[in-house]
Amino acid sequence: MQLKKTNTSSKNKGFILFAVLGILSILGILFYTIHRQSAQRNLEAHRHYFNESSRTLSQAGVELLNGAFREGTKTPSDFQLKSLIQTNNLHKSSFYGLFLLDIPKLMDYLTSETKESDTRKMYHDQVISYFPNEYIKMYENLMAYYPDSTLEFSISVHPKTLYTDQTFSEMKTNPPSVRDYVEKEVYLGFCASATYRSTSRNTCINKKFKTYNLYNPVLNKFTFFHKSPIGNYYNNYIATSSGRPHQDNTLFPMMLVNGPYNDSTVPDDQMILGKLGDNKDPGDLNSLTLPSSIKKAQESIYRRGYLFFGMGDNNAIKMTHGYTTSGEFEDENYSAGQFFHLYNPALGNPKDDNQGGANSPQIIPFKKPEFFKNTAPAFSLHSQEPTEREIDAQPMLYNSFLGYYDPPERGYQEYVPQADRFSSLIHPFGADYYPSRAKTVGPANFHVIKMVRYLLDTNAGNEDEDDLRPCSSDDVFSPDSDLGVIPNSTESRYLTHMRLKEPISFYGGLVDCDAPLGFRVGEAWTIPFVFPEFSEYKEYMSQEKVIPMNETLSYPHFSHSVIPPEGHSNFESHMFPEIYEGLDPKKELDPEFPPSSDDLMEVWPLPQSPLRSKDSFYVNGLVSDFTNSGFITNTIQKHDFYTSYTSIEQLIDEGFLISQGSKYYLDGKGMQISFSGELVLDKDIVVQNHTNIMVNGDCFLAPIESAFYTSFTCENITLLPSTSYTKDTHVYDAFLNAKQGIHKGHSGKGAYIFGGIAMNTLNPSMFHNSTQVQYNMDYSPLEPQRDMFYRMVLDDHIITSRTQ
Amino acid sequence: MKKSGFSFVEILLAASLSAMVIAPLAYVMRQSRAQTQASFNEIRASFFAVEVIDQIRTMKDFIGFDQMKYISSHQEEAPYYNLDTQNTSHLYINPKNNDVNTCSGSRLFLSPLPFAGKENIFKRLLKIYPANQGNKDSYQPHPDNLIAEVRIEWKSFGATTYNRQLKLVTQLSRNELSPNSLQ
Repeated sequence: MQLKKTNTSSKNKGFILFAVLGILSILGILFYTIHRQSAQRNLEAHRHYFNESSRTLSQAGVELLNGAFREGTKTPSDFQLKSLIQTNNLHKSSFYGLFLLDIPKLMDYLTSETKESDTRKMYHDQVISYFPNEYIKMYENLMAYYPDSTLEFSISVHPKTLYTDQTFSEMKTNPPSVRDYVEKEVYLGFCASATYRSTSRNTCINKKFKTYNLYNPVLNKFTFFHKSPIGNYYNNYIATSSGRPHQDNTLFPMMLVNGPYNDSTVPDDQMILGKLGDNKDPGDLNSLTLPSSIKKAQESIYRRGYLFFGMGDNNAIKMTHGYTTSGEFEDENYSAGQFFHLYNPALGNPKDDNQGGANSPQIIPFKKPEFFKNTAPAFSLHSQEPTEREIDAQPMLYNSFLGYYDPPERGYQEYVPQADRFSSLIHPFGADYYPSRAKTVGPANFHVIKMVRYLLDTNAGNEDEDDLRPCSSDDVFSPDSDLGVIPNSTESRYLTHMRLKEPISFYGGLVDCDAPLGFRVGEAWTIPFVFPEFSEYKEYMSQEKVIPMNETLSYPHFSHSVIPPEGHSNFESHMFPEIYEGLDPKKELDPEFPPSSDDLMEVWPLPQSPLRSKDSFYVNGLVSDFTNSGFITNTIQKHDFYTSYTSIEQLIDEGFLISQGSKYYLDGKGMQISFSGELVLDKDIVVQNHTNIMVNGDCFLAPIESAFYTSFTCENITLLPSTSYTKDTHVYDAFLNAKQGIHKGHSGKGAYIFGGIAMNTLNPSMFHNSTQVQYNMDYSPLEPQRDMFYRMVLDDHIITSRTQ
Repeated sequence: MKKSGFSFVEILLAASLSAMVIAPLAYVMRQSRAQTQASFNEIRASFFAVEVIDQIRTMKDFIGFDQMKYISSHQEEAPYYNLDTQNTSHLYINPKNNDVNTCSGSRLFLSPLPFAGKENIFKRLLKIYPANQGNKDSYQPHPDNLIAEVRIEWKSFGATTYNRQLKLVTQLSRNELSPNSLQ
């Protein structure tokens, strides 16, 4: 028994030892497992965070890429564009330059994914080389948030023709009728691939991008007068028009009316957009992008040289030689010459004269050159003894005209002998009354005349004239006497050919004042006295400038948002009425034997344009293909002699502004006024003369009442409500040009802008109550950036977005 | 005379052995629980951060870039905005305007935070400021790009202060206005 017991105890202890060791092993394994699991969970948690970090980084990368692309395709400034063109590396310099390549060149330049593919690819190094500098910095700063990460970009590029929607290979086999292949629609895939702590994510978005040529004659009648992105508003308008729910009475689409002057009825065909509830069915606008209709319209324009929307001046879009003799049109409808308003910053109303062309201000003073400070003896003539008195006088120059003009009473041919009043061959695009822009065509030259008058002034200031004002029933000008016109001359002739008119005093109707009746200059008054060097003379002499073919004479209010002409209500009925070849159109058709639609012929109620050139009707080429002398802009800039004002008080002191009661009375004196700083005109503005104010700062403008050319060019423009009346809609009778945006100070008020608007962004406040812009073609501001006629637009909608 | 059973020494040894085994086990279990909780909280924190980032991106698409500037600071060093200091998880672009129609697009619809007792374990912090287009040491705000920084802070197991955090940073670039903003 004891042995048995001993054996059992021994076995039990062994078993216990085994069990304990087993339990310890199991516990050990358990410890290890728990530890591993914890570590694994920890790792997974970290990996989850790393994954989300790389996903967030790739999404941020796509945003950055999108921003860089948008920035890179912004229209460069005039200076930038010119310098870019001169490098011959435009396509390597910026996204803008790259997409100015036409489709074949673009395809050739970019890397092909496959041999026959219509899609091209840009990889990281190439993409980043197009980033503007600030975006490269932002890229570096973004990477700093995620140490040891990488972020690489790629862009796939799939271009198609803009209006016919053909791929590269399709357009090679079946070329479209519009062969400006710079115009294109490009499908883009923006991708950003991020890696962070061994995780990687790739985010892509698809977008669209369009390049328009604003000089496309097919389209520009219906160009909206915006400088840049209206696309969303337009898209939204279409969306809301087609029944998509929206909140009533909170937002209104903007009306853009390309309308007539004064209170004339707006013809239906001129109404481009109307807000909901108008007679015009906005749904029709969807059809305006049909390629077949565009092609039909374009071919007709090619054949005729113009569009025809029915009889009557209101509907005709004519070719014009740029000048219409008096009487060709019986009333105020001077069909030609109106577009010359484009070039003069301060214009009269053509209805005030009978010359069929733009009226120019009588006098624009020049900035006085240094050598004009010399004085020389002259004589003033009086009615009382002594009748002739010697005085010291200074020469003075005035520009009496700049632009295309025929001042018959002055016989300007005498001074600029080559001028030909019928020589201007301008093709305006747009309705005859409301051209949107023009270009010279065929063998045309555009003649611009600069007339410079030479005057005498006894006192450089205005004091002497001010003293005489009480004596005179007429106005007293600052120069004392008109000596003549500085003629166009050569270096050898200018010394001997100065013409002096009989000096005439400007002082008429003097009452009991011993004021000069006239002046006589002494022998010292020669051209060399006024202009010691011919180079100085040449700068100021009267001259004619011939602008060659393809000079682009563009209208300032550009847009990328265009509607082609078949949207015109009269297009089909007048261009393609049911008139059949071989049949007398006056006879009624026999309903039993209707002619075939193949016999449908285009009618020709107007003769074909004699100015149409077979080969060069359509503007087809790159920016560098067009010449632009810059003559007009440069010359006018040279005349900009005004100092920059910095306060309202200065404007008041200079007589430009009068503050009276609840109104400001603004008299720009037909001149360009520069203003630095914030311009706040918060009382209702009554404009009393042509006014063009260039503001280097923001503008806050109360309602404007004007019968004159009125233009504000500012950084931002805020439309303030009236302080003197509480109407729901306020009128702003001016051209409003904002380098950045236009806002409403009180978004609940409606705004009616009669003139024009141009801006980079349109604040949503403009849509909170109705805003109407009626374009006033009688006046228009200068466009200093005429080279930039291609507009690139990145579609704001992300078509698809995916992260993998 | 011998008695059956364990001697005192055996029992003492067994107890010691058990203590040697159980103590680390308890420690490991506790550590494991803490680790699990920490991992779980980190994942939850990631979700919260991603949720805020996604909501911010949606908000930008909905109301447009310009409106986002209302909730943007002017500088990189601006303080964070605690998204959970309000009773609701709504971030209003214009807090004075509580009209439902106009504010609906400017809300961040966020998940409720888990409570531990009466206190949040998590804190969601947000700041938005213009992206720096200058060098790292010279901040130059870019008008068309915003940086959105989301920081999630939380208390680890047993801690009384917010001692853990993670951060996600994204960039928002200007598109033009979203069509939705006009409806």
